Amino acid sequence: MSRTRKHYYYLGGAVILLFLPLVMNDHLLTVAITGFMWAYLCLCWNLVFGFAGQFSLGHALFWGIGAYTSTVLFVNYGLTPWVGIFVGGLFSAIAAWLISLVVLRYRVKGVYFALMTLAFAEVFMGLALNWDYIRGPVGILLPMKNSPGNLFFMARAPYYYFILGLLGLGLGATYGIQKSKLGYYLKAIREDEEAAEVSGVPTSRYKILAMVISAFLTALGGTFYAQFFLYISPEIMFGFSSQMTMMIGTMVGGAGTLLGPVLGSLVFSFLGELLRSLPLAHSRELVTVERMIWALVLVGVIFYLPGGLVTLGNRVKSQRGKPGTS
Amino acid sequence: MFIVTLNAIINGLLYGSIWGIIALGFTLVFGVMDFVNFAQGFFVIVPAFFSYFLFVSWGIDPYLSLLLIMPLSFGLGLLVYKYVGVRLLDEPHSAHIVVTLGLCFFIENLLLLLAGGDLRNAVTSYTSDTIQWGWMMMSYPRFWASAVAWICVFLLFLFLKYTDTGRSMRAAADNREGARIVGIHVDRVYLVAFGVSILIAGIAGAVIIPFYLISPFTGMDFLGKAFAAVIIGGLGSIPGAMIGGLMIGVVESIAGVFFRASLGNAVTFFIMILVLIFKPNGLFGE
Repeated sequence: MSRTRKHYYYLGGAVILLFLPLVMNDHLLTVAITGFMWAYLCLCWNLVFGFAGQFSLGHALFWGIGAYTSTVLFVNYGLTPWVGIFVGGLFSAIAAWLISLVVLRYRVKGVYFALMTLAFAEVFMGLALNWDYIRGPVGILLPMKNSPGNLFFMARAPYYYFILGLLGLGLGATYGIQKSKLGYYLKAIREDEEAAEVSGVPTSRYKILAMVISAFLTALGGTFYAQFFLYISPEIMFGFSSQMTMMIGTMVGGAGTLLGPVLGSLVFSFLGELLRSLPLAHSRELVTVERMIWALVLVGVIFYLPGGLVTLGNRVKSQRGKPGTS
Repeated sequence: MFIVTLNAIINGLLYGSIWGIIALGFTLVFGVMDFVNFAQGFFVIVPAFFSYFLFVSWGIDPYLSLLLIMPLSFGLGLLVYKYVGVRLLDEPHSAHIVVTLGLCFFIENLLLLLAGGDLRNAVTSYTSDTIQWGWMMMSYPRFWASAVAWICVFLLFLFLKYTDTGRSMRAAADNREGARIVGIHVDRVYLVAFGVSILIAGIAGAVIIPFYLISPFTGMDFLGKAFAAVIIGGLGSIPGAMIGGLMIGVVESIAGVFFRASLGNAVTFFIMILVLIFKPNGLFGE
């Protein structure tokens, strides 16, 4: 496929996405919004794991900081989440910067890095549970009203366009990083950190940069979650399950690629919808069955398709005798 | 207050021995074959549920159910190694983490489907019994659970020190290629190590069920405790895992007395971060 034709396909896809709310009912829109939100979060995690090769298990921390910052600022001080979302992003970026400084200063790597980031998220969850100022374990309920100035809408379509914009931002950031010096440096760090260091790549600076960008973007997703679902609690925001979803979507779609994380999460959204449309048991059971399928798909992909679903196309192509383009 | 604190410490030590043997299974597999098993907590939960249902359905005492759980857990370990572990040995740690987390996710949701999300424990005749010596007060089932834990540690020590398989295990941990060259069946040794690790987790699950409330989500908590214990004591070190387990048991118990219990977890993980920063090989690692 030639370059320009590929671009036309992307353009066509984008136009279709823009007009989808006109033909979708509320239920389908909710599915699309949730799917895009996870796709966006997967993209954020992918920046750190897929590009810099840093196995963060603490992205729930950044997600939670985003949601809690904007929500507390709005509920307690009336600051509009349109501003709060960026304050959350800033706080989250600062947290990521501080954590990265500690991690780099003491050379925490591999499993230790994963456990350390996980531990930071857990510590924050413990603090959030015991901090009455942010309502502890009860969580915060956001008002349900139509107030576009405060990023609350009664209709679904505005949320759809908002998350579509975020997704575009995530894709743009990933694409930009991929094509820039930063992307090549990060790839070099992922493949062989010592070799990169020796060849003059300032590894620390770029690892911090990847982490900070990713944390900032993740926090924006956190605010979106709060504005759309209107309820946040320490378990939801700092618990491990959001991290799990980011990891599964990214790994199944293909870590370190542009479209892999999006593809992975959308496949799961689609599978979930398919499952719910079958005349089966109660919804509570369906959720568990759905997650069991996620787990099986994850393990299957890691074992049999280590590059993720995005490599599927290339495989088919190379079997036809054409080398894969990537 | 002094006596309350002392009793909290004793209680913490009793809990800590359990966290210690859960961490032991994790550290054994990591030390011997460099495998990171994030599913360790769930190999505690599954036998615990099994034991619970044996008790509720047929009145089989959890300690009696050990007779069934020990071979089953060992067998489960062999199966998991054969179909999952062995494929991952030459992969990077991130692949171990992803796949075993996938396993966690699967088991957690399977248990939710089968048993629901309620917290439960096996209310045996001795669940609320206490042992009292002067000012010292201990929960009877916790005392015995920790006794079983220490028997496990002792047997594991004998196994590693004096049996041929145990010696080969230490050799393989020390130098995989070297062990292979002197004629040790490294793959078989790995298989046994994995089985033993899951076996220990199974024992912990059965002895904990008379007094500890579990739900499918508790697996993640156990995993967190195992990590904290292992990091504090030094990843791969067996005495370190026990000492780390005891430490977090005491810290959580004391945090429960002076602060709110939900802060205990945060304190544990905070200590873990400090250890990762200042003594990355653990307080007792070399």
